[in-house]
Amino acid sequence: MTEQGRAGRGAQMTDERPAGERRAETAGQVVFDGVHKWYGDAPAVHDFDLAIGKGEFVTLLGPSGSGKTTSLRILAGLESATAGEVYLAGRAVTDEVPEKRNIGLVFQNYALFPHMTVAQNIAFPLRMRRMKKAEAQGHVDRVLAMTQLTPFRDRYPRQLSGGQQQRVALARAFVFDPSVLLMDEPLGALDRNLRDHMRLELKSLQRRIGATVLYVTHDQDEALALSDRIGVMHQGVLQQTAPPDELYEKPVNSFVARFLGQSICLPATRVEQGAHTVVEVEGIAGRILVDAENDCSAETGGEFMIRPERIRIGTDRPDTAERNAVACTVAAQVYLGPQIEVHLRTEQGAEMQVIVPSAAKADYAAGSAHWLSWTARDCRFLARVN
Amino acid sequence: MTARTTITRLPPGGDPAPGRVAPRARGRRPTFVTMALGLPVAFMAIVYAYPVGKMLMKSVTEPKAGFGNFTEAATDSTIWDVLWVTVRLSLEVAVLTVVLGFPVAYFLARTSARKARFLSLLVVIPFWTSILVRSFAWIVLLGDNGLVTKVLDPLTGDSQGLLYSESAVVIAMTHILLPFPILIIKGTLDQIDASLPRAARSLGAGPVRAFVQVYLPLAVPAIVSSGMLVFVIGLGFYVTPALVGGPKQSTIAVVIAQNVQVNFDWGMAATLATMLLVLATALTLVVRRLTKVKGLVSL
Amino acid sequence: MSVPASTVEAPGVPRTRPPTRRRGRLPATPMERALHWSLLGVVTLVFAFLVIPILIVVLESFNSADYLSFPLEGWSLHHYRRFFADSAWVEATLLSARIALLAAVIATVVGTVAAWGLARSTSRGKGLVFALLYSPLVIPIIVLAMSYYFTFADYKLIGQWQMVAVAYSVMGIPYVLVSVSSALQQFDPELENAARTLGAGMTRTLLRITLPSLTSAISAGALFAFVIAFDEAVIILFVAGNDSVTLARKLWDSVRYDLTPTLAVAGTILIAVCVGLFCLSELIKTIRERRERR
Repeated sequence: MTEQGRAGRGAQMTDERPAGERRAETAGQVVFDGVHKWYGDAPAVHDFDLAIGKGEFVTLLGPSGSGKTTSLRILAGLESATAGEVYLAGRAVTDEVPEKRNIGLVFQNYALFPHMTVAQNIAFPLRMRRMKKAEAQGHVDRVLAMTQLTPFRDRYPRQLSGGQQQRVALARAFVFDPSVLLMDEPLGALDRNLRDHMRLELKSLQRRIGATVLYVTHDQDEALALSDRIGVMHQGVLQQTAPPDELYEKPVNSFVARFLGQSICLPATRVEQGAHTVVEVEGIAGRILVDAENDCSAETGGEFMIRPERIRIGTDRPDTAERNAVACTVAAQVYLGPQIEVHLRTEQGAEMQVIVPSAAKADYAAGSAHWLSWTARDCRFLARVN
Repeated sequence: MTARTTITRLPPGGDPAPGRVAPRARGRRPTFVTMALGLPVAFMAIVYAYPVGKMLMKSVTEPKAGFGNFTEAATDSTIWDVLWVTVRLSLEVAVLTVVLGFPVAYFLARTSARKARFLSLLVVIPFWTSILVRSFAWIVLLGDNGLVTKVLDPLTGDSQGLLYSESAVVIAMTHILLPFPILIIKGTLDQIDASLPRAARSLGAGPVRAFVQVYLPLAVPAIVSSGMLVFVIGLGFYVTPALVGGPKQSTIAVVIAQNVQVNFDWGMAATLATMLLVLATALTLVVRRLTKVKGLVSL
Repeated sequence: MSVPASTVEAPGVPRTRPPTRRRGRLPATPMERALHWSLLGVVTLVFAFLVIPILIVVLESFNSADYLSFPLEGWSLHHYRRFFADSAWVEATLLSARIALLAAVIATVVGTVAAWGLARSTSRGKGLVFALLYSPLVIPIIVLAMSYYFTFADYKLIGQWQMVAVAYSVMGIPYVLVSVSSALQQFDPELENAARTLGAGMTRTLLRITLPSLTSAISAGALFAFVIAFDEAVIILFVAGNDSVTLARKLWDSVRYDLTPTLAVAGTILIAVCVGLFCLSELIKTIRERRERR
């Protein structure tokens, strides 16, 4: 039914629209074009560009205060952009009031209307669109069934559990077929187990209704599990937007590397660039080979990065020349169930961690000497962003 | 393989000081809030600030421009007498209400919530009753045939009622203003941890010392501020002194009314009202400074 | 000596229940008991002091004598009959109700709108706006009375009941403001944002989302405003003229001439209306709390 609506609107469009709008239509369902937000003299969002395709699930991931919620609220119309344009389904909506934007927003605290029942809450957006009562009833029944809320239709929000409230908020946000579904930390208020469960439910629901989603969270597991693409935000700037695997494998700077997953980041300087990039790393003797492909714009003063699980640990120096190697002493080992985290120190005093499966049954006694090694493909030389 | 990464940018810190971007035109959204503040302010300006301002102006323009009214008031010994009576009455009432109100507040704070709720009604219901009716009640009680007079008769051997005396005014005003300290002090005592006096006693203090040295100091701000509040309200009292008191109990409010109704001296009435307003405002600000009086109107 | 944790006495239900200490306070000394009883005595006396005068007015209204006396000469509804037969008293009562109703409506609208504006505003002048709206609560009533007397006299408004109601509404606004403001503090502004994103314009959002959450606070404020206007006995002494003699004004006039149980009837009506409304608001509050808890 979304298709029909979109097609109908598309047919009426002419080419007299501004260039930005035409660009926006080809670029995606949601387009942020150079959006800035200043609170007085404090920048909250800086030159934010992002295009989201139809049916795509994009997550903004970042620490609190990084500007991700502000960006989302600018799209919803609850905050005004200081500069830049926002396009929704090919239409510039930057100056549009929230109620005209046709977006569904799931709030962090759900924002369910306490004086309305579940069914009334879900019917609210339909009633606001002047839909007939009987017709609205049908839509409400349909989404109630989809979210397994049918038995609770006449309850008030305060009579529901956290997970049920979350589902009501979700149902209310998509019952009217919004152009885009926005979610601001929707699982943040739930406890761990429920959160994992709702995550699966959320993803399968999104697939079924084919919704375009912009999701905001500070939880990297959530972002990795749900998203087609993740945008990492830091200090109001979108650092990198990429699919989860690429983001993990090829972070563009040390902030992204550190924020997503575990990483060892050490200050480094480039000394040679050719088929391979060669860097000198603080705390590691000798030179380290880094794949040329991993090159980045930082000329000097970048950081060397490697994921702890990509390091091989052994008692002997590896014999192949392709592998970077460094001699270390074990400082401690931490048993974590499925894996063991080994903390080591290089001769120059740099600290490294290695993660090995606990099934390996090896012993890393404190004080014992080991060799760490990795290939050029597994490590990176990155611009430093703290 | 081409990188699928789309956007990379340094944060503002790493950028050579990003200049302020040109702000876009503001939306129309704040208008609702502006109207919600503007209309009430306009209403208050017309029907409240204007009349009060007009009254203040009268004190320096009627009968002729200048501070003649104020010098006249300052040199008139009867005005000073009236001021003294007003301050004395208010002071007596303030002390009495606090002294009577504290035990009740203490009791309400320490008793069970259910009982406290019921007994609070007995405090709040008089509070909701018209001052005029309560003054009238004291006319009945203190008059020559009144209950109080009849009860006190054998004790004093005097069949004359207390009506139209300073005692009558003080009693009636105390009755009217007593709910204020009770409710304010109770509000503060409710916040005090009930285990504190017990803790003090476990450390060796007797019941009286535990109360005086531990409990009371915590209640002092509320006691002082409620006393001052009663004092300020008392300064402006009109109905009670006019009905229950005699000519000797003329408060500043009574004299203001006389100036309007008997002497037709609007200038002097406005002058005295201005003085009262300044005094009351100053004292109110002091009270607010001392303690934030909360929960007073959400009784 | 250390014992491995797992070998310590089997966990679970303790075999013997430890002796429970007597509930309640520390053992009372004779002095404490004496203090307790004297506190009770003082509190009882103060409650009597608070309540008896009001009871007396109500009792006197049933006095069969034609003068105020206590104990009562006898019980009778004589004075009620007399009160309701006198058109001056009845008209005064109706006028009081009419003025109080208008004043309450104005105060409720202005106070509620202002409370919402203050809650949503981020402007720095907010504090001043609050001070302006709150100040009628603090200003001595005789000062207000003078202000309205001079203004009404200058504009020939004396005796116009609508104007009296407007003046009274000013006194009611602080109560509505404080009541609604505290309710708005409990109200999540995100609910308004939610309604907007769901397609409700500002007006519909306020009417269908915000207002329903404020009804009890608004009605409490409105009751306050009504009672204040119904009772008011100072301003009316100056601005009533011949045409706006309210119940309070007529009571005031009569008290100064003669003291009869008919006045006690007027007083009882004033008490009944105000206390009745107060009990009504308490009842609404209790019912609401019950429903919330359900």
